[in-house]
Amino acid sequence: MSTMEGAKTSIASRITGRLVGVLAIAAFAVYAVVSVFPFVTMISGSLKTNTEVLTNPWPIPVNPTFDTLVDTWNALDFPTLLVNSLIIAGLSCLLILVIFPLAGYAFAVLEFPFKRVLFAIFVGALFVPGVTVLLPIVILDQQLGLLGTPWAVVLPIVNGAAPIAIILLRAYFSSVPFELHEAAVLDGCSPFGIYWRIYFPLSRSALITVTVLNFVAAWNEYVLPALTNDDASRYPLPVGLQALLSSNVVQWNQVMAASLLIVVPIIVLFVVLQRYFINGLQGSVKG
Amino acid sequence: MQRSLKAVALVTAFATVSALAACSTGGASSEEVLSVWTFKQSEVEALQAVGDAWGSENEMKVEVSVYTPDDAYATKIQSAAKAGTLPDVLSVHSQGEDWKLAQAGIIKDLTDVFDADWQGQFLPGIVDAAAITQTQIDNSGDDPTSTLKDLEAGNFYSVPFLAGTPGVVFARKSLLEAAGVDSATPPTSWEEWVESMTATVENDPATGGLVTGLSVPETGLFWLYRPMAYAYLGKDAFYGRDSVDQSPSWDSAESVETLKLYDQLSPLWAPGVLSLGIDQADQAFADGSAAWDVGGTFTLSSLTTFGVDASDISVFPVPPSTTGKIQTIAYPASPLISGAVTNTSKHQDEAVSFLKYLTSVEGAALFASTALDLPATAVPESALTDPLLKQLVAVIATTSGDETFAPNDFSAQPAGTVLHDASVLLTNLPAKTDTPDGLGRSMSELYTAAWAAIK
Amino acid sequence: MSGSRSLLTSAGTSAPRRRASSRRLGGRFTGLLFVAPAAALFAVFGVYTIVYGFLLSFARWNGFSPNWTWTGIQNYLDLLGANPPLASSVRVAAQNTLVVMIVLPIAVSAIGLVLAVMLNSVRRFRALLRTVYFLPYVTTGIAVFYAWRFVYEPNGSLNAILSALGLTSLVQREGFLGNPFTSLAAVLFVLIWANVPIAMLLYLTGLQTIPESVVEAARVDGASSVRTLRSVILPLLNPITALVVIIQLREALQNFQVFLLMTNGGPVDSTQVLGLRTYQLAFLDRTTDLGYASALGWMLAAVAIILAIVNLRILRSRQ
Repeated sequence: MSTMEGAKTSIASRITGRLVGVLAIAAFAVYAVVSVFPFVTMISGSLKTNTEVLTNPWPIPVNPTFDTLVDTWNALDFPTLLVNSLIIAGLSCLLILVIFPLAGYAFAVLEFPFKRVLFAIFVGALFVPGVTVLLPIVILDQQLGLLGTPWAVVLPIVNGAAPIAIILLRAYFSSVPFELHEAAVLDGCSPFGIYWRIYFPLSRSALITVTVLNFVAAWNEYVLPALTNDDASRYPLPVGLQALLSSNVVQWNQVMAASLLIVVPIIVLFVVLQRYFINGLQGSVKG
Repeated sequence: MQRSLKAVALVTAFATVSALAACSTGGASSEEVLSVWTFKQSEVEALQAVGDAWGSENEMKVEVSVYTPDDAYATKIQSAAKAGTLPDVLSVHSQGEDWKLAQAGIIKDLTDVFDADWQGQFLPGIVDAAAITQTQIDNSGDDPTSTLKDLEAGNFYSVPFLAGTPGVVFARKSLLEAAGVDSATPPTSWEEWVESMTATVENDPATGGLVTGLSVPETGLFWLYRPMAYAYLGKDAFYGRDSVDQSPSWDSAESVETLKLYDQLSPLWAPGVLSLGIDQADQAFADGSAAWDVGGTFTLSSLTTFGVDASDISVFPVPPSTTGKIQTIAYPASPLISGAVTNTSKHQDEAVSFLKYLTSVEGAALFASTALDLPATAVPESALTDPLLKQLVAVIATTSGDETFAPNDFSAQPAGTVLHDASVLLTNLPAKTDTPDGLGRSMSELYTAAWAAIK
Repeated sequence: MSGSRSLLTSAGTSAPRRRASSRRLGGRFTGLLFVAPAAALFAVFGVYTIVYGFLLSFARWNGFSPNWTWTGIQNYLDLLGANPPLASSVRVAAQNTLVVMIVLPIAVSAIGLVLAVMLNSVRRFRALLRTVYFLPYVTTGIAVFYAWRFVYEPNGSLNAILSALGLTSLVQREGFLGNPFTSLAAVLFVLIWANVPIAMLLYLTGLQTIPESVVEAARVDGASSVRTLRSVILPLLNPITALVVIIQLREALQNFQVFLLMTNGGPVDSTQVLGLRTYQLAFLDRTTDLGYASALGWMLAAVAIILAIVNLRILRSRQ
């Protein structure tokens, strides 16, 4: 490319570049608003009375009140349900982080018989129709004596997380430079040692992604807990929300408030975890 | 190293918490428990009140649990049936759900205990409607998912405690007056009603319209169209149209005439009605965004909770057309929700006793005032305090004969999804995506196919 | 000097050097030990439920009666045409689902990728922006659908904005959800909106795996950022794209909550989709039939698997 042509292209491209840049910023801003507004609606709804929620649909409450939040906290029995939700989501994520990185590592790095078949099965399991799996899960839970315990919900959730977790972790582990692996082998590390000391710590981003995705899914699960429990004090938060929705006359302000209370812990988790998310490209993975 | 220690600590913490959580709470209670399941949140308080009253006499504790929405309730029963954890008493929708559960062997046949004395306490027509008829058994066909062939005609598999009728119109007097419509006398004919609605819509299109929860298409079919069509066609033609002979057929002139009458409503619906749920429609009416609301006796509790001024509301049944076969029509109460006793219950006699109390005058009055709904038992008006409830009781007929329409009598229908499909087709008229003639043809095809599938 | 290492190298095509090293690692069965916990869990919960559901598709059962009624492949035949009322409702749902199946993966992966690339390159407000764009995934459920219903209502914000912009011809008197011609697009947009964060998060994770050296090399060659994106980064992200597309295909075929909560399939079946139809057959219809629901569910699974394989082949051939 001659310097003259280079110069012309660069002026033209700079102008178009700037225009595109402005449009891009505008588009991102609009999409940010679109992403946030239901959340804003929820916040504003929790500060309104039921009548105002029905008559004033715009996000600014006329007479903001904290009464709704207080009433909802009590109506939901928030502390009890919160603990139940934490148990279910926490146990699920813990198990997922123990079981699936191991499998992902094996699929990515090791060789063993039936490797392709097993992987295909896990991927295929992604498409199993969820609707017809519900009853057999409850039957299985009952036969294993798990009804009424958090495990009745946790184990199916963990199993359901398998396809995506394994695919993602395998992809991530495959991209770790193989030299690290070889160096560890030369150092006399056992397979598990290599996994635990090298691969696991390096995959922070993937682990965080898996944790966040599955925590949200487990947190929002409401069918299984309702079906496997008869004791209302064991219900997680979404079941409590469902009860608010089935009053004869729904108190929409309480529904908004309950939804907000349910969502806040997840947002807190996301904000905390994503600080550990590695930024930028893989340049930092050296040595 | 530090990380593994942290990990170990985390795991231990979780293990402890989960172990604590998994341990069952509560020691043994000295009282026996009668467990009751329902699917309506609004009934919980009422059932619990009745349960407490009954329980104190019988030294038992009644525990009411609710599982909503309806699909979750069905799944809960299904999984409990498999797991053996069914309760003692189940709330079921009358005239259908109870029979399905009885066929599956989940609930008990109550015919022997449901004696003449007990039967006498109910509103007229309730007991007849609650018993299964031979026609219904025959029409259910052989399809294993919907057959009822193991049941016996004339038997009772549940006891109704909540009654009502759809096809009730609520009107806001102040909006009518503003449009120059006489709100003191309700319209006695379909044509008169359409005229009044046209006036309110012309006066203010934003608030003068008609609402019902059309996002659930069955509301249009069950609450509005069927009562009007029954009055127009007369009893034989109305049931004959849905039968296997389809005489008259859905696309015959008289049938299409009913669709044309329904189409007269198309310009009168409130904006956005097709996306309104049942509660939303009631809310819209309560806030004054609509002048007319079609619902049933069950709409009462919604409206009361919304704080509508009872003196501003007038109530009347869906009026018949002047051009039809029946000129005056009445709606007897139908059983809506019944209580059933499960076969696996260990307290079957106590369960029956509870149901007996629930449907006694004393229990029913308590239930009605707490739930703000119409009980299946004949409770004297003096026992009721709510003014709207009194108005509704007046809508319920005490006569029988051709002039009464049983809204929940679907005995003529073929089994399968035909009612839902017909409801969806009917929404073509409010959506203005079909004509009455075209719709008549589609309905005719639908019913022909539905009956053919049963053979 | 690792060069561009592609993700998801399929088993068996790795360099011989690798096989030699792993054989030194505790033998051929170590891998099985690593996979054992996941496989054990699957053997208990996965196999039973899958076999149960699969067998159920060959029977009729309303969920309450103690026994199934075996019908062989009649369920599948019924859904495909032998039972006309049933088949026609499936056909209507299939048409709408086809639209969703095409639009959803494309829109979600495109928007997700763009957001991920943007988030990866900004330096300030990173945490805030990530949280903002992630909110849709977290705020799912009834509150969200309520908020969107408000947007689409006749007197809601979308109509208000359109009027303010002077586009009164687009204003919907019945609301966007009440008009059979706009309802599918309206609900589809909510579905896209709810799924973009997953794609964004997965792409962000995928971007971690691209060595900086590769991007540097492209820049040195004089390629603009857009070209770098298209010819270098995007192919390296193919496995992530494959995953995102597969997940969205499953969403398109199985999601029912959004459709149930926003429109219940209406008006006039304009937003009826196969996922919702399956759910209605299993739980909501007047006569529930878990056999039909299962059969429909498995047919959808078969379609999804075929499409996923096709999609993987296409992406792999582009590498």
